[in-house]
Amino acid sequence: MKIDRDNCGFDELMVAYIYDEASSIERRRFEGHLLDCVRCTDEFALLSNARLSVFEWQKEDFADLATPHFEIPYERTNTVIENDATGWLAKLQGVFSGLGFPVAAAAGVLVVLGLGFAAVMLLNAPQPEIAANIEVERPVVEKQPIEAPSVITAPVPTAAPVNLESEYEVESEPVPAKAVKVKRPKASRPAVTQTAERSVSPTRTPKAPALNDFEDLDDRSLRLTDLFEGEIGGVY
Amino acid sequence: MIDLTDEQLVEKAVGGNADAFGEIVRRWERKIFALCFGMMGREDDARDAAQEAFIAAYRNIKNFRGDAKVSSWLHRIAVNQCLTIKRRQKTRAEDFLDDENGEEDRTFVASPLLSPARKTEQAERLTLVRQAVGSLPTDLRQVIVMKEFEEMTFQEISETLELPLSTVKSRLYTALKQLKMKLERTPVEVV
Repeated sequence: MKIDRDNCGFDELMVAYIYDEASSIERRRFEGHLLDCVRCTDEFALLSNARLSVFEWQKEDFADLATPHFEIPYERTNTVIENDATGWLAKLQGVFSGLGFPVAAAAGVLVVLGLGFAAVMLLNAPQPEIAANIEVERPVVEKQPIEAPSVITAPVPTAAPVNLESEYEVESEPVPAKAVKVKRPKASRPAVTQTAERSVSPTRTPKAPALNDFEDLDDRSLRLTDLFEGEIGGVY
Repeated sequence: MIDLTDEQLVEKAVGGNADAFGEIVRRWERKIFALCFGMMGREDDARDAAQEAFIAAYRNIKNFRGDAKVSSWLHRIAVNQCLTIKRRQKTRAEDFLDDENGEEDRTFVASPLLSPARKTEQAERLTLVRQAVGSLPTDLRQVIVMKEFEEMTFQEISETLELPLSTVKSRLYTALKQLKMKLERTPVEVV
C-alpha cells in the first residue's frame, strides 16, 4: 500500500503532536503551520480520525477489562516460622505480663534452672551409635575345606591330635557379619558409608577354623598323622 | 437532504435552513471530533472544541467561499477553536473545567449516550477497526498496540524495539495512514 507523504515533511511531528509527545517549540511550529496549510490540516484530521478509531476500540473492548489476579504459590516456610516464633513469644509475654513481678521472676528462675538441668543431662548422656540406621545382613557361610597350618616347629612323637582351636580363636563370640548394607539416600556422603563398613568389617572378627567343622571323610588336607606315617621325622 | 452534496447543504444553510446545517453536522461531527481529539488529547476537551467549532461554523457560514471544500473549511475552523481553547486553558492555568451548565448547549455533537442506530454504527465501526488493525503488517501493528494499548511513550517503544526514535514515529505515521485508508475503503453506513 503506497503512502503519499505530501505533508510538508511534518509526518513525524504530526504523530508526535497527536500523541502529545511534541515539545512546546515543536507544537508551536506545527500549530502555526496548520493555520497556513490546508493540506496538512486535512491530513492531520484524517490521521486523528484513524487514531480515534483505535482509541475507541481500545476503550470499548479493553479498557474495562479487569486485570486478572495472578497468584503464585511461593514457599512461605520462613514466614510461617517467623510468625510461629512471634506468636509463641507473644503468648509467653502475655502469660508473664498477667502475673505479678515476684511470680514472674520465680517462673523465670525455674525456667532457667530447668534449661540448665536439661543441658547437663544432655551432656552426660551416653552418645548413641551412629549405626542406628545400619542393617547388617547375615552372610551365608559356605563350608570349605581348610588346609592345616604349614608351620610345625618340632616333630611330635605321638600321633595324638592337636587341638588348634585355641591358637586361632580370637574372640569368644564370633561376629558373623560380613556384608553391610547402609540405608541412606543416594546423595549420602560416601565417607560415612566407608566408616560404617570399616566399623563392622569382618576382617576384625574372623572366625578361626575349627577342626570339627568338617567331616573327616571329606577332608583330604594334610594331617599331622600323615606326616608321621612310617618312621618318625620321615619327611623333615 | 441526505442526497445533497456538502456544498448544496451549505447553500441551503446560508439561506436559513437549519436542517441543512444539521445534516452537515451529522456528516462531519465524527471527523471534526477526531481532529479535536488529536489536537486536544482528551475526549472532554475535544468534545468542547468540536461543539464550539460547529457553533463558529454556523455563525460564519455566510463567509464560506466556494473555492474550498467544506471539509477543509470545517477543519480549519476546528483547528482555530482548538488553539483558542488551549490558549484559554493556559491563561486560566486549569487543565480542565467541568462546565455543567454547558451540557445543555451541546446539541450538535453526538453525546456519549448514543441512540440504538448510533450504537449499531459504533459496533460496526469497531469491527472494521479490529479487522483493519489485524490486517496491518506486524511491525506497524506492533507500534500501534504498544502506543494505544500499552500507553508507552515513543522513547519506551524505541528502547523496547531497539529502533531509532524517528523510525518509531515514522512507523506509527504509516500505521495510522494505512488504517485510515483501510477504514475509508469500507465506510460505515449511517442508518
